[in-house]
Amino acid sequence: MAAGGIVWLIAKREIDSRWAQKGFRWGTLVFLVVIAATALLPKFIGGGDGGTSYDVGIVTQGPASPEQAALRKALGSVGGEGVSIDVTDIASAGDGRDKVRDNDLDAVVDGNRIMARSGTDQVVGLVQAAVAATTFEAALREAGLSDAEIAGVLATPAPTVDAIEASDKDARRGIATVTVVLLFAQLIGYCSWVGLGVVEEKTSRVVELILATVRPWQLLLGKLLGIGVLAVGQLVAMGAVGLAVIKVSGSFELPDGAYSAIGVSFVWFVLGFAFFAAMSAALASLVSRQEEVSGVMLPVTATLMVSYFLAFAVTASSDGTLAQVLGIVPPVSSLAMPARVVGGDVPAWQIALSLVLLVLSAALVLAIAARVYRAAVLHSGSRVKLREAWRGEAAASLD
Amino acid sequence: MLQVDQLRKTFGSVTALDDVSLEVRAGEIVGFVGSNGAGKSTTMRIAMGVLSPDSGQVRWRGKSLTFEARRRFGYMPEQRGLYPKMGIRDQIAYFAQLHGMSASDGTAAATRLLEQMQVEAEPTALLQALSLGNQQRVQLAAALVHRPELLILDEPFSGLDPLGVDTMAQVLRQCCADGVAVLFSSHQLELVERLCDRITIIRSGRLIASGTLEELRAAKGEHQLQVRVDGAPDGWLAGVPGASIASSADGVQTIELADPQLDQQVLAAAAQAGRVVSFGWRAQPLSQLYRDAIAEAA
Repeated sequence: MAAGGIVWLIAKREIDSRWAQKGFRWGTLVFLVVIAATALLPKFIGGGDGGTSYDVGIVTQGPASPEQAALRKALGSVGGEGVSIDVTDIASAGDGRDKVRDNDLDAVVDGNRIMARSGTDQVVGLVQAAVAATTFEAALREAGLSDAEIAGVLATPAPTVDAIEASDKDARRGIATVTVVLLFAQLIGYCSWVGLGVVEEKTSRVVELILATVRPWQLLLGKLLGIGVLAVGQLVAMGAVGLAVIKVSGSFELPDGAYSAIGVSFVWFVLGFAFFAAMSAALASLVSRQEEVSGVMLPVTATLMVSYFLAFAVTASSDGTLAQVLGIVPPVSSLAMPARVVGGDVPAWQIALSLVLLVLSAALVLAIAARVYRAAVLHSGSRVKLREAWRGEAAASLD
Repeated sequence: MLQVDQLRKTFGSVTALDDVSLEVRAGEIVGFVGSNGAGKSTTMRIAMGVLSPDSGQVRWRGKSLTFEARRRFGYMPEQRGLYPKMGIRDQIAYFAQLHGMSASDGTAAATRLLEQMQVEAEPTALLQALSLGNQQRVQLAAALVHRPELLILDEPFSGLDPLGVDTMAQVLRQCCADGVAVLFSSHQLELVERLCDRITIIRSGRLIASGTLEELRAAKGEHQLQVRVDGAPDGWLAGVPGASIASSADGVQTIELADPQLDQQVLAAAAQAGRVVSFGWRAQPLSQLYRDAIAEAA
């Protein structure tokens, strides 16, 4: 059988055996539900694609005066795109004050007075504009303009405001944070699987039987590939569910370039996984018992944790010098660059440099790991020193 | 088929193998015996190519052992090893595929072997749910599934109940009849004696004896007859110089000969002395040959 066929066979066993575990399937499902819920969250905590909606009361005693009718009409049109105002009649000013205090209404208009919880709410400005428009209209009518003329004056389009900076930046920062958390969780979870899987084969001694048929690098690569496919698959599923929920529910406006940024994140994740998982496999091959795994993998977990915290610094300020450096230096770049591209615009040369360096470092770690692994994996009993493994002869090294 | 030539292997300051050579031919079962730590497993691991010797070499069909040739070997390592949380049929089929069989052929072969080995479990059962004896049968099945040309089995009988031993022995005989070369190690010398065409004894990394049972006996240079003569008076053997009674039990006398050519004179003397009920060369059991060889080498 071709060498690639064997690698895939080993990878397939890794995938099958983990998929066969109920815990894995349920865990994935729970993950997806959490992702879907997170994606829906903005819809429930305000904002959303349906835009903002305010409830405004007008204090009317008896039948509405023409001014009040005009104000009601003005309130209906003042919001513009993405903002709507529902108007209700309130019997008295006191009643209105209570309703505002109890959050039943966002604002109440009583003649020339506006009651709101805060003077800086967007609704205050809107209501002020509506009141002003009504007063203006009345003044124009008094000045003898016909309805058509008044409509003409009022139809003067107000300049539209795109508040890109604030909302887009917030959205991007939010996505960047979620991206970093997800990538980190996948890396740390699946790398520990790699470590445990390597030691499981040593503990159960099955590795000697396997290495009587396949080469050590094939076993190592198959394991990394199989577990990597699961890690990426789970990530793709989470991304797809998250994006689908956002798209369908309209809970959240995706900033421009979000899709390509998420695509970039996958590439960096794959490379980061290759780096950290190869490191995990090499270190884990030094020990023979499950309880030694977490200890021997400390360098991996520590590097990952540091990368994680640094990547968080990047999400806070994705254009700073620190962020630019972290986005390039491997292996931090495996988390920092996705945070940067999702969080903002990154010059192409930095993306290219980051990619090249990460590919090179992952290849280097893989080569070192393959050498350590082939010498250490058949050694059972006491822990092998890294230096000994590096110098050690390869097990099962037939031509 | 398999030739192991002058292997030498040291682990640190310990010499594990010192000039070890042996041969296994097609359709032949070779028993490998020796005390714990004598170097059996090290020799077998080197023969399997999972360990490299310091010097010496392993040849298969006259050529240096290659990766591809080794894929046609079946192996049962000293430390048993399979995936504890994997179904037994899938597991055997997996090893079949690693050896180049298709998935469907592998599954079919696995199903057949589980039956042949009389594994008492559902094919979908996880390995860890099986008794040790059944796990051992699955282990052998994993070594046999790809129809290997050579079997290297490290202590295949250890931990088996008497029925398990019978099944295992039967399977090995069948393999041998199919032309497979078999090398196995064991401490159960009566089994080795029963099963093996040839025997190799190793002590502290050095071979001390090798050959068929007859050859081992002959090599010892001991010529003993076991004779039962009813009604013979004491001293009936006095007329045959060079022959003496070494021991006597239950009427059977063990007679030591200085020269094997004296056997006919002893027979004639016995016939004259009384009624010869039995007369034959004493076949030393392997256990005795082994003990003597070990003691001699010490």
